[in-house]
This record gives sequence, C-alpha cells and structure tokens, in this order.
Amino acid sequence: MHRKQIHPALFITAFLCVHSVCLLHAQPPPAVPAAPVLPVIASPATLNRLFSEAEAAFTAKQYPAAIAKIQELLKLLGPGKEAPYDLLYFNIGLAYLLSDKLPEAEAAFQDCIKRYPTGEYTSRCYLGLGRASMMQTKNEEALSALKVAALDPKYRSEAGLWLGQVYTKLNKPEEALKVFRSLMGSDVRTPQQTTAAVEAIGLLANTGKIEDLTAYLDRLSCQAGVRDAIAWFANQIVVRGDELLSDNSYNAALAIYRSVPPRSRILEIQAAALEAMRKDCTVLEARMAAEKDKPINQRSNAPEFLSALKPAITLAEEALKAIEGKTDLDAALLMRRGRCLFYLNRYEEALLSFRTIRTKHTSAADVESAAYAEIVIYHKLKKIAEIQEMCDHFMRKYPDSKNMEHVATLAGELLVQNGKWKEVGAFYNRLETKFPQSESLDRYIFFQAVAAFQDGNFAESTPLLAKFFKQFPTSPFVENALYYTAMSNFLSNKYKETLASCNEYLMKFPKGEYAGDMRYRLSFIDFNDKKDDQSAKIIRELGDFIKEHPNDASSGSMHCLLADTYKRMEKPDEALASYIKAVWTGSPDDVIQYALDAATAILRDRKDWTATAQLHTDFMQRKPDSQLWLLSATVVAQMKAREGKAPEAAEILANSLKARIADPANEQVELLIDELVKTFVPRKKPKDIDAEAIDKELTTILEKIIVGQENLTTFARIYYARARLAQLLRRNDRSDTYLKGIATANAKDPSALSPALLAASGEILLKIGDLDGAQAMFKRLSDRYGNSMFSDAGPVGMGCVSLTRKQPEEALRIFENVLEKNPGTSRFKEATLGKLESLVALEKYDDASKLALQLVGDKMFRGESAAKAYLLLGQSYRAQSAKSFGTEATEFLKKAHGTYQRVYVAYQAFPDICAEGYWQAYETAKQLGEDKLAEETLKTLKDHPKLQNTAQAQKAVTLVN
Amino acid sequence: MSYSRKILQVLLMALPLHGISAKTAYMVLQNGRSLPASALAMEADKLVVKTAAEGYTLGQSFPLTMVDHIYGDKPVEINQAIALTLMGKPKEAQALLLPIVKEHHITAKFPGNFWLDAARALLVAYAINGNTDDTTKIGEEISDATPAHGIDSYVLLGKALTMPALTSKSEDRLAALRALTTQNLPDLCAYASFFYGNMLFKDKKSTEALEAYLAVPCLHPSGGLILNAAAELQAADLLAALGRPEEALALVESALSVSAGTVLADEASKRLTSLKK
Repeated sequence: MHRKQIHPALFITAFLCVHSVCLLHAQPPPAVPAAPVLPVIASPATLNRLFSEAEAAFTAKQYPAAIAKIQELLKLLGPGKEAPYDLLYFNIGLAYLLSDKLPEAEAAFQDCIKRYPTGEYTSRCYLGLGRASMMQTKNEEALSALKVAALDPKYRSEAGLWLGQVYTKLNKPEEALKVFRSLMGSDVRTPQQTTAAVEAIGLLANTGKIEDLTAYLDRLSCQAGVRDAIAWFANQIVVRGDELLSDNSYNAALAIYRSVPPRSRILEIQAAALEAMRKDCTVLEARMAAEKDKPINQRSNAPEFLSALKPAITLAEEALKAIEGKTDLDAALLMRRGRCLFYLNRYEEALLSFRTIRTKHTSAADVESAAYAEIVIYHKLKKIAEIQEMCDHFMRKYPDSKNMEHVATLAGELLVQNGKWKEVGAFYNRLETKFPQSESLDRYIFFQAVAAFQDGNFAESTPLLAKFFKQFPTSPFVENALYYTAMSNFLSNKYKETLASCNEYLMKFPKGEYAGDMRYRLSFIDFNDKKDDQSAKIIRELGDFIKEHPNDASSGSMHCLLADTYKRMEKPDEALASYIKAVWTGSPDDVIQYALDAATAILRDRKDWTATAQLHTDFMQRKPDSQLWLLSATVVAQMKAREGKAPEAAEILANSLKARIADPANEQVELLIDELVKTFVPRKKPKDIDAEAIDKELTTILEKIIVGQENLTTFARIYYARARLAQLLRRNDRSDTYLKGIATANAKDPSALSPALLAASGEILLKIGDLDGAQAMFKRLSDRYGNSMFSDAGPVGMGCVSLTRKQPEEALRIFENVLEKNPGTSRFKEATLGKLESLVALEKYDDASKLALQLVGDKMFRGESAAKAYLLLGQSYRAQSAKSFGTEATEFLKKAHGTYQRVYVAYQAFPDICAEGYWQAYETAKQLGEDKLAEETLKTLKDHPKLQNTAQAQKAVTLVN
Repeated sequence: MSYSRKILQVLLMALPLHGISAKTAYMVLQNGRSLPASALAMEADKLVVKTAAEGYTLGQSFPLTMVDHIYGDKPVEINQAIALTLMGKPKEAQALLLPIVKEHHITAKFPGNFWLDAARALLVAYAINGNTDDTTKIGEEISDATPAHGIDSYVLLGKALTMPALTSKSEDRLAALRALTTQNLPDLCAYASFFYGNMLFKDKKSTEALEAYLAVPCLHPSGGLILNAAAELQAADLLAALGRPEEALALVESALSVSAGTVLADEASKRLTSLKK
C-alpha cells in the first residue's frame, strides 16, 4: 500500500471543469443581443477565441498566460451585465493560487468577493481565499474565510477539512473536532469530497476520539463517492491506518483497518462503478463525435465532462489493479488488525487473527510473522501445550526464519519458568538433534543439563555440564554452568568436588551472581565438618564476605548460617542478632521464615514476650506485603495477650487492618479479623462474659479504623467481625443473623464483598433459597477472583444453584468441568457429590451408582460426604424402583432400605443426615409394605436423643402422635 | 454514480441538499437536485411527485434512470432493531423495522438506500422468531431488489436460521451457518458467525463459541458495528469466565464505543460497571 496524494490533481481538474463548462454555457446562442452591452466592440469569435485560449492555458498549467487572457477578455467585455464576470475574476484568483502566487491570489479572491458578494462563485472565492491565507500561515484570516465557505454545502467537505487543519495547527483540538463532526453529516459524492473525507479520517484519528472516528468510517462506507472510488479509498485509509500503527495509536488504527471491506467486496464494488463510468465515457465520446462539426458555441460540455471522467477512470483502474495484484490483502489487513489487538493486550482476538492467517491464508506474505506472533502471545498467556505445539510447527516449517532462535528461546523459557524439567530436557535435546549447527547449541546443551539437575538427576547433569565446558568454554552460560556443577556436587554429597567447583566459581567469578551462594556452600561444608570445629573460620569468612557484599542475594542464608554457628557456640545474643539481620534481607520467604522462627524461638525461650511482639510488629511494618505478615500478626496478638495487653494487641491488629479493610480484593483481612476478634474473648466462663459490651467494644474499634474510608465493604466486614465474635462467644443465632445480613444486603450487587464473604454469602443465599443472589455471589467469585484461595467455591456454587433450579444438565456440566479442569480443587468433595446428585436427577442411574459406590469406598470421602453419597444412592434405588415393576421394583426398594439403614446406623455423628436416613428408611419400608418396620423406624427417629432438633424427628413426632 | 454525473451536480446544483435534513432519505437526481423519497411514488418505470417539494410540482414525473443515489442518515431504528434481534428480542425488532421497510421501499433499487439494510435486518428478525413464511417473503423482496446478485445470500441465512430446532437437525444448522461464514458479504458472515456462536454456546462448547463470537469483529469487522458489539459482549462473558477480566473489559469497552443509542450500549454499560468493580 502506498499513499497517493490525488487531492491537488482533483482540485485542479474540478476547478478547471467548472470554469470550462461555465465558460461554454455562458456563451449565448447565436441570436443577436437585444441591445449592445459591451463598450468595446468585440466579435463573438474573438471572445470565444480568448475563452478557448484561457482554457487551453489552464489545461497546460500556464497560469500567467491564462491570467493575461482573462484580463484581456475582461477589458474587451467592459462593465457590462450579461457576461460571467464573477467567474472570470474568480479564475484570476485561482490561477494565482495554482501558480503559488499567494498574496496575488488572496487579493484577487478578495476583489472578486467585493465585486460579487452573493455571486455563484463567492463561496469558491472564500474557499480559495482561505486556502491562500492558510498557505501563508495567516491562520486567523484563513479561519474567517473558510468558515464562510463551509456554510455552502457544496464546499463544506473541503472547507471543513482545511478549517480542521488550521485549528489543529493552532492547537485547538476541540474546535477541530467540532468541525470534523460537522463533516459527518455531509454527503460525500465528488472526488474532492472523497479526498476531504480521507483527510478528515486522519485528523479525526489524531484527536483520539475513537467513537467519532468509528462513526464517521461507518457513515462513509455507504457514501456514493466512497463506493465509486472504493479501491482508491481503501488504499488511502490503510495508509492512514499504517501511519497510526507506527505512531502506536492502536485503537484508531484498528478502527480504520476494521472499516475496510474484504478484497472480493472491494473488487466487486469497484468493477461495478468502473463499468458505469466507462458507459458514461462512451456516451460522452459519442456526443463529442456528433458535435465535432458544430460551431463551438453550439457544442455541449461533453469534452469537459470527459476531461474529468477520464482521469477518474484511470485512477480507479490503477487502484483496482493494485488491489487485484494484492491477492493477500485480506491477510495483510488481518495481520494489521492482529498487531493492533496484540499491542492493546487483547490477546484472544489477536490470536484468532494470527491463527486465521496461518490456517486460512497459507500463501500470504505474513503467514510466518503470524505464526511467530501466535507463539509470542501463547508465551504471554503462559499456555504451555499450545506454545509447544506452535514452536514445533514453527521450527519445522520455518527452520531458516530469523525468529527461529527467539522461538526456541521462548518455548524453552516457558518450560523452564513452569519447572517442567523433563519437558525442558526433551525440548532442548530435540533442538540439539535438529539443529546441530545452531549458533545456540551452547544454550541447548546447557538447558539439558539444568533440566537434569532440577530433576535431581545429577548423574545425567554432570556429564552434560562437562560436555558443555569442553565445547563452549567461552559461552555466556559458563558462570551458571559452574554454579550448577557446584550445586550438583553439593547435593550429591561429593565433598571434595564441591569444594573444588565452588572455589573454581569464586576464582573465576568473584563478583558473580552466585558468589554469595558459593561462599555459603563452602561455609556450610565447614559447618558440617565432624572432625574439626570450623566455627571461627565460618564467622571470619562469612563475616568478611557480607561486609564486602551486604546486598548479596544469599546474605539471608549467610546470616542464618552465621547465627546457627553462634548458636552452636552457645552465643545466643550473637545468634539472635544474626537471625534478625537475616529477617531484614531480601531473601526468599523460606529463608526469612527460618530466621524469624529461630529468632522467635530464642526470645520465647527467654520468655521475652515484649521483644517477640516488637520483632513481629517491626516485621509487619517493614514488610507489609510479605506472605509471613499474617503469621506475625498472630504472634503479636498472642504475645500481647500473654503480657495481659489484649487491648494493645487489638490496637496493633486494628491498625494493620486500616490500610486493607476497605479493599474487597485483600484476602488477608478476614484472617486478620479472626485474630483481632480472638483478642476480645476473655478467658472466663460464658456466663461471666458481658457479650454485648464486648461486641460494642469491637464495633467501636473497627468503626474507628474505617473513618474516612467507609464503604459497603467495610460495613460488611464489621458485621463479619461481629459474627465471628458471636461464634466464639457461642451466640450462634446472632452469628447467623449477621452473616445472613451480609449476604442478603449484598445479594443484588455483590461487588463490595471479599472472596471469603462471597463464598460464605453464596452458601447462605443458596440455603435460604435466594438462587439469583447465590448465583450472583458465585459468579462474582469465579469472574473476579479466579486466583483467590476461595475461588473454588464459585463454580461449585454455580453448580449447586443449577441443581436447586432443577437444571441438572447444566449442573452436571459445571461439576464435570470443575473436576476435569481443576482436579486439585479444594471443593473436590462438593463437586463430586454435586456430580452424583446431577446424575441421579438426570436418571443416569448406572453412572450414579458407580460413582456413589466409588465415593463411599474412598477414604477421602469418609464421614459426612460418604453419608451424603449413601443417601443419594438410596434415592437412586428408589427412583429406579418407581420405574420398574414386580420383583425388580421390590429389589430396588430393598437395596434402598439397606442403604438408608447404613446411613442411620453409621452416621449418627451427623444428626441431619442420620435423621434423613431414618426418614427415608421409614418411607421405603412403607413402600415395601413393611408397616411394622416402618412404624418402628419412625418411633426410633422420634425418640432418638441426638436427633430431637431435626426437622425429620419433628415430623415423626407429629405422625406418631 | 459516475464522475461525470458528479461534475454535472456541481455545475447544476441550484438548491442541492441545501438545508435538507439528513434524517430523511432523499433521492439525489443526476442533475444534482434532490427531493425527499417520501414525496414520490413509483408508477411503472417512473417516479411521480405526489407532494410538491424542492421546486418539483405535484404530478411531475421522471424516469427511474434519473435517480443517481439515495442520501440521508441511516434510520436509527435499524441499529436498534439489529441489537434487539441479536439480544433475542426479534419481535421488538420487527416492530421497529416494519415501518422503515415500508417507508423506504421506494428507494430499494437505488444505490445508497437503507431499505436493503432494514429488509435484511427484518429477515433475520423473522427467522430468529421462527416466522418461516415472512422470512421467505422478505427474502424474495430482497432478491427482487438486487437482481444483479440473483438470490440474495440473506435468503440462505434465513433458511439456516429457520431450520427446525430439533436435536437431530442442529448439526445441519451448524453446518449451514458455518458455510455462510465464508460468503462474500461481511455482514452476512458476521451474522452467521454470531448465530453459529450462539448454537455452540448453547451446546456448552465454550471454546468454539468464543472463537465464533470473536470471528465477528476480528474476521468480518466491516459487517457492521452493532454485530461487532453484540459479539464482543458475548465473547467478553466467556473470557471473564476464563479468568481474563482485562480482555473482557477491553471487549466491553469496544462494544460500548460503537453501540450508542441501542440496547447493547445499556447492556455494555452494566457489564462495564460490573467488571470494573
């Protein structure tokens, strides 16, 4: 695609046509005028000759000659009334403008406007005046003139375009935008209007108002002018889109690319338009031929029409030819749209675009780039299976691609990131085999060694590393390879080899990335020396190293080893100091936790609760984002409580809550609230506790910390805290009321709730039958908090909602989906039981029985879950009985009764389930005609001391009485 | 329209389009003048002025070949009706489209008309509503108005959509819709892809449904802004369910930006609020 500026050509052509035709039309028929109006007697032939010469000069772009001819003509005409004076004066201005004599053009247009302020050419004079002013950077004058020209609908497009350009130049984007918006209502018919429309697209895009740009593009698509020059138009706007793409204006570029019709459509529309134009051309040529012997003043304006039509046809033909030649235009556009979408982080859409190029436009020029782009996106999305498949495809299909190494690197990196070491090894082994001459061979071998190392296969990693050193002694991976060698030796307990390789590393890379780690390993070996006490050496060497490299990545481990050494030397103060130093390093959590636990243990041994609390308070303040933060909060609360300073503990925890409590996405809040609430529960007998006062105290402290950030989230969390307190104070009714309140108050819009509260509220709403509310909770949990520790409750909850709605098919789909895609789900039991219930409801009895029997035999489902599975199994038998006859029906009922018996005998620890077992057994016995058995079962249920509060027992009481 | 005619318009425009309201469909004549389509009636092969307007007098007539094209703004009801149909409310869509189809019928054979858009949208609405006879009838009218193309491709879309909704036939319908996604008309492909997506979604084939929905704005984007917006909203739901809220948000924002004035914009606003929370 290239940008072809047709505007000046069309401008000239159009103006010339206007003049020429008008000149001809202005010539009167050969009839004798009623009265002479010209002061200078000039024959019509002379006037015609001068008109013709002026026209010829214009056509030949001999503007000074054209001006001279017109001036001569005006002189001959004199101040009469019948001649087209405004046209002639306008043409003088135009000729000056086209010959770049801008001040003269400006003066000539002003002269014409002054002479003919309401003439046929006045608007065009304003247009010319505006253009001449613009070109002289007389912006204010240009604006004034163009505003007048824009009032004439015929010139609105051109005037509007230039007005917009002036406003843009004057940095007045709002005014420019206003003008462009006014263009939207214009009919786009003429070539000038179409050209103006293309310019306006670019300028609209620059304003960043994508909605306006999209609306304008949509409107243009059905405009006559655009349809007639569709191939040229498409070419032009793609060029605009490319400019925007290179300027990183992806949304605007995307809007433009999306507005371009498919190639076949462009060809079809353009061919039809050209056919019509050619027909017109034939008609005009025939007319010209028929008129060739007529006097010039009796001829029609066919030649002038033809002079405009022919370039238009040529232009359309050229554009059409270009589109015909661009056989992969659709793929090229798809590639561009894909790029925009990629840079807008709309990966799924970009993927579809690129995939379509790869699979449907296999001969397109962009097909390799598209395949590469797919890999880059899969890498971003961390889709391992897809990236592997695509990388294999890419490397097979484009072995000589310049992106080959990058593709291999990306694929390998992803595998490394995901710790799929077996696959890493196999992947790089394949690369080594396929590309033995690759410049990246060192990488291939190195990562095979790393993969074996990470897999704990040192027997394999060691020879690979040896091979690597031999073949690539200067590779950039040498430092890492030395490190892995040392680690292989260290982890294989090869004492001497470890010393040798660690020292080799330190000698070659004394300031290397792993220098600290190597030093640590050497000291660790010393620490474990069973023969000699190396403590002094350890303290000296590690101390020196830390002094020189205080920020080394291994400083935490080194401080810990130092502390362990001091501890063994029975120097607890030094040990404590070193552990605490380790805590403040940027080490991984496991190192920090080791140091923190060790320091806490020393302080606890000393029963120094204050120092323990202080250490963890400091930790909470200095590392507020640490995963260990919550642990510290708990320790602080415990220590303060031990000190008898529960209010102080509460205050620390409350202050920690302050920055988090209003954010529903912060999952630590509920856990922190749990700790906070514990500090409020006194160690007294329930009867000695003033629960109301404690509740008030808790509420007061929470209300204090939410000041200034009150929202629905804080409101819900205060009620959550009160519910938890009520639970600890054994006020379960109160607790249920608060939790139910949170659920029902947020049922219509659950966005204020945290993942924990969404999960809890969903279950409450499900239980009370507010299915819409429950669904909203679970959906929000799934959609918004997919990575939360509570997220598993979302889909399972949705499945339960579907079950309750009597939509077992949908429920089964959801549960199966959960079990298939997330086999490690924390709601595995619920999802499996949900699946079982769905199968029963769908009358898939064989599958249901099979699953139920599998569950009751599975240790994981022991207890309540197995009991529920038995109940469902019994239900399945009863349902099958209902669909059978005679003996078969009886057999099913007997099986059901046996199953229910098992429930009420084995699961008395679960009153509701046990009672349901009794009830179902009673009903089944009645169905079997065993009235006595049924009666006994009912009586047992009624009298069972543990089941008195169950609904089934109460029903039994009613029936027995 | 040829360039020569355009030049003629420039020359002869005495009162061309001056002060006319773009809300009304105007017939632009080859002499550059124009008059409201509502002021005309078609009689055999000519147009007759039935209401004096723009300097034309009652009873004046001119041949059909004198009409160059139709000018005016697309009636807003068309987009709203398409949106309603795509949101499963075809009856409401029909109510909006029927008056437009009637009013614009006279413009049906001229370039730039909005009748074809309205009639095609009506065909889809009828088909979605299961009105087989009406679908066939409007399909015939469309084919008559576009004789150069033979049977209009939308007729095939109507047939695919009105196939009996039996389980045994669903694969046939899927195949028919899928075949239509490779047609020449981007709006037809977009419609077919959208309804193909709906069927897959109903069949719980989320991955395939997502691809079908995304094919509308990604592979057939010039099919129409409303179709793009509807498909983007459907795809947004599926992407949100896949735990990709940022991409879902981008789709909803895109849908919102092109669906102003339709029910889709309301729907997009709701989802935007929900996703941003």
